[in-house]
Amino acid sequence: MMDRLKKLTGLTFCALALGVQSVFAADPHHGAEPVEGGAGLPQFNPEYFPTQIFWLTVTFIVMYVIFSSRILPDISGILENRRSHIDGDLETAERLRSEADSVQESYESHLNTSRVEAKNLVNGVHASMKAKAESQLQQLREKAEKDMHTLEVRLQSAKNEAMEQMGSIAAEAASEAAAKIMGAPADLAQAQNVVQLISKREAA
Amino acid sequence: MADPIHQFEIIPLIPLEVAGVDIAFTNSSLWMLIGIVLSTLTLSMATRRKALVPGRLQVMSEMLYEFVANMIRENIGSAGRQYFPLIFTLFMVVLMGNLLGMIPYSFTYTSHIIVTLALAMLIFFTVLVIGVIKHGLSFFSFLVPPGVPVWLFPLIIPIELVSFLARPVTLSVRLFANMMAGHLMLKVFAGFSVSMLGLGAAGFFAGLVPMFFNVILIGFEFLIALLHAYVFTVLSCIYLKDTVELHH
Repeated sequence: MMDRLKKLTGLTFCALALGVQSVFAADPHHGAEPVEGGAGLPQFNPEYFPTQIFWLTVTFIVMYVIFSSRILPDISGILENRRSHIDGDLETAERLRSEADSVQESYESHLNTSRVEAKNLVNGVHASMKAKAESQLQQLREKAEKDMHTLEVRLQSAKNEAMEQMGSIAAEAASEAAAKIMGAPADLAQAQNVVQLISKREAA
Repeated sequence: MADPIHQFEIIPLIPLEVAGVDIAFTNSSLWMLIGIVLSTLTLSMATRRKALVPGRLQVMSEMLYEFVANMIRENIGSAGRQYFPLIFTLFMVVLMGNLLGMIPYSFTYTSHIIVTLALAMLIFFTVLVIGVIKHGLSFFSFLVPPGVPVWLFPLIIPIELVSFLARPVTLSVRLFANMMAGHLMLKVFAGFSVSMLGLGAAGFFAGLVPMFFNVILIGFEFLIALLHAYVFTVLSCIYLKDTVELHH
């Protein structure tokens, strides 16, 4: 069934094409009488040269006038318009891009300066704090040294006092011990002298 | 079998005579008129909207414009802009003649030697007149190519002169012969098929062979039609270049 259909359509196509073929071959003026003049090709029959040249000239002039006055300026206008439009767009894009670039640049320089500023600030704070801490430490140290000095002085004086008292106590003890041993009262002043002598010898 | 020559015959449609010269409106004139109407109407319709983003028809007309503009730029240079309407019209006249001739029952006015010769003469005299106006008598220095020794002049000048004078002849005969030969061939092959049809069933199938040839030939003829419109115009550009600059 399919095959037969295919064959049928193929044949119809061929028949149609042949019909077209006969259109090409068709001769509206029946019969192939020899062209007058016997020159063969109608192209070489000078009888129609004037009309051909005349109408070609008319055609050429009409087309030239229409093309040069209307159609060609129109088309070139369209093309020019499009070109200028595209150029304008490109220019705008370029300008916007350079603007964006400058904005980016200023942003970056701002960022840089603020970064430097922040660094300076941090450094300053750090330094001032360090200086402050140092000075306070120094003060504390000085104060402590002073305190220690006074304490030492006091200690020394207390020690001296105690030593002196120790001397007198030793003298008293010695004089009393002498009184007990000898049974006679001893001279306190002499005892004191002896103690002093001894303590001096020890110190030396 | 139908006469393959008959398609070139001129048939007067409206008799017209001015000052004793027969300028009847013929089938040839009719197809020239159709060419004018078709080309100008199509192009003006295409450019009517002047769209920034073109439609199909406008793209086609812009391509046609750019095509001719490029042809002139490449062959004549930027000074060739003055010839743009001339070249464009020439191209359209030849193109319309060639393409409209592909319609069955139509008339191919470019298959007539007198038409192509007239177009070639137009170019020839344009070159001659504008060349002499622009360059004076030194225009004829094209007869002596640069760098040729003096003792060769008696040989070179006649050769160059003949080649110059032969330009309109070669230009016109090339187009005329191509168009005529192509159309003759189509008609002859078609005639084979039709005469074989008369032989009955066997003839029907035998007639398919020239028909298939004709299918290929018609495609080929379209190529020829476009190609020879281009060739005619390009050669005209090359000839017109002499008016712009001497010594190519």
